[in-house]
Amino acid sequence: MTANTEEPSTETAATESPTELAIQCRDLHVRYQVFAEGATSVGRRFRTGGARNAIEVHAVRGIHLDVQAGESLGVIGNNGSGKSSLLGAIAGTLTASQGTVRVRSQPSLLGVGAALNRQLSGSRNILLGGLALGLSHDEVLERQPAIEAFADLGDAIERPLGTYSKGMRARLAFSIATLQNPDILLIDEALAVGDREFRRKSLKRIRELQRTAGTILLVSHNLTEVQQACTRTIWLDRGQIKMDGPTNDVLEIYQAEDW
Amino acid sequence: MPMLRRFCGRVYPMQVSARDPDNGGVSLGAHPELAAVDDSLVAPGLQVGVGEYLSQMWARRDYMRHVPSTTLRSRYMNTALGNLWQLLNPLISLGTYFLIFGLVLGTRTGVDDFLPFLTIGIFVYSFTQRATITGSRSITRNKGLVRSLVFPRAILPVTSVVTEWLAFLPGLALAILVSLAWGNYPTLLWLALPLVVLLHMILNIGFALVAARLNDAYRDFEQILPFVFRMVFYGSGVLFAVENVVSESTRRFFLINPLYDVIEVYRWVLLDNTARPAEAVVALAWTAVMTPFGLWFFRRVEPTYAH
Repeated sequence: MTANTEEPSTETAATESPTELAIQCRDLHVRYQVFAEGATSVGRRFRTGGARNAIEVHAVRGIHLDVQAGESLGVIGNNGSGKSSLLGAIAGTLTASQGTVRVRSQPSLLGVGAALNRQLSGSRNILLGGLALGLSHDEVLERQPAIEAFADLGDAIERPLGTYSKGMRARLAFSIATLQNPDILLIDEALAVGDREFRRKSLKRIRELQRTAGTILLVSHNLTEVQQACTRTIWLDRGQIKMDGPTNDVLEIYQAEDW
Repeated sequence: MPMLRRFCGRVYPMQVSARDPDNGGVSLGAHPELAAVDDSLVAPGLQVGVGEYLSQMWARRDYMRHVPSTTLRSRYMNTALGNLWQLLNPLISLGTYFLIFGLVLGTRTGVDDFLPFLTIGIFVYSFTQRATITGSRSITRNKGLVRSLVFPRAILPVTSVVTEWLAFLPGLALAILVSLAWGNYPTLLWLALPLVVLLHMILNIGFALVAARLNDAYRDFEQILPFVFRMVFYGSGVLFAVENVVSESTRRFFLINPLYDVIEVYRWVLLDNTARPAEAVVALAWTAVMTPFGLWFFRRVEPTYAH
C-alpha cells in the first residue's frame, strides 16, 4: 500500500505506482422502484392486480470502475445522473441489480442531510450512530468529546436534530461518519451545505484520511471542492461514465460543455 | 487542450475505450483501462451468510442493550409522574380488567386464584402484543438510521423486543407478588421461570421480524395489527379459563395459538395448578420455527429497507 503523500491537487495519477484496489465495479447496474406520490384508489389496485404505482428507475447503467487505495475520486454530473445511486451501491445500502461491486472494507457513507433520528439530540445521535456502527458504549463515550468538538455545534448539541439547519446536520453527519477512521469514505454532497470554516476543516480531515491510505469518493456540484480534494474525477451522465481522468482535465471539459 | 475539445464534440455514448496517453490520460466512455478482478475484495453491505450476520449483530450488542432503556425513559419524559408510569401502567390496566371481567361480568367463576390468573394472562399477552407492534415500526420509524449507516437491520426489531421486555418486567414482578399473596408458595418449578421468559422473548423476536418487514412493505399492516391482537386476545384465554368455556375437544384448537400456550405455561410454572406439557411442547415448537423463519423472512428483502 503506498500512501499518497502529495498534495491532492497535483496531477500525479495514483494509478502510476502499483497500488492496492479499494473498490471494483464491473458492469454495475442499479434499478430501484419508487412509488408514485398520492394514494392509489383501491379500485385501480384491483384492476392492476394489487400493484402500486411503482415506477422503476434505472439509475446506474453499466459502470466499470477501479479505485485504488489512497485515491480520492471526484464524481460529477447533472442531477439524476446516478451519482448517489452509485455511492449507495458501493456502500451496500442499495444492491446491484446486475454486475458486481467489491470493496476492500465496508465503506462509510455520508449523505446529504443525513439525520439518524430527528427527535433525539445531537449527542444522542452520535451515540446511536456509533453503536449501530459497532462501537462499544465505552468507545463512543470516549470519542464523544472529540466528535462534538469537531462538529462544533455548541449548545445545539443537546437540542433535537429536527431543530438543526441543513449545515448543522451536515457537520454532525460528517463527524459521525468519520468516527471510525473509515478506510473508504463516500461523501454525497454533504460538505456543500456547511459553512466555509467547516468545509476547510472537512477538507483537512479528508487529507488526513488520504495520508493513511484512506479512499474517498466525493460527489459534489462544487467544482472547486472537487478540485481541491480529488486527484481523479469521473463524470456521470445518465447512469454511465462519460469521462474518467485527472480532475483538472475532466473539469475543464465538463465546464466547457456546460456553456 | 484541442484534442479534448474534439472528443467532447462527439456523440454520446463515447466508444473510445483505452486510456489514451495522447489526451493527458483522460479516458472516455465506460471502459477505461481496467485492472484484473481482485478476489481479495468483498461485497459491501450485508450480503453475508447467516453466521456472519449473527456475529455482526453480536458486535452491536451495545446498541440492543443501551437503546431500550433510554427509549423507555423518554416514553414518559413529558409526564408529571415520569418513570412511575412504568409501574402504574400495568397496575391500572390490571385494575380495569379485574373490575370489569372479574367482578362485573363474573368470568372468575370456576377459576381459583382469579387475580393471579388474570395478572399473568394480561402481562404475558401484552408483552407479545407490544413487542410485535413496536417491532413492526422498527424499520419505518428508523429510516434515517437505515439510510445513513450500514448495519444488520435485524438489530432494530430485536431492540424493540428488548425494550418491551424491559417494560414487561414490572408486570411480571407484579404477577409474582400477586401469586405469592394468594398463597402460591415458590416451588422448584419457579426455577424454570427465567427460561420461560427467555423463550417467550425469542418467540417475540420472530413475530417482530416478520411484522417489521410487512410493515415496511405495506404501512397498512400497522393499522391492522391492533385488530389482529384484539382477536388473539379472546382466543388466548387471558380473561377466562378456556376449559370452563368450551369442551375439551374444542380446547385442542386453542393449542395452535402460541400465545395461549405461552400464557398457560407461565400459569403452570407460577400457579402450579394444572400441568400443561402439551402447551409447553407446542410453544417450544412455535419458537423453534418462528424465529429462524422470521430472520430468513426479514433478511430476504434487507437491501430494500434503505429505500
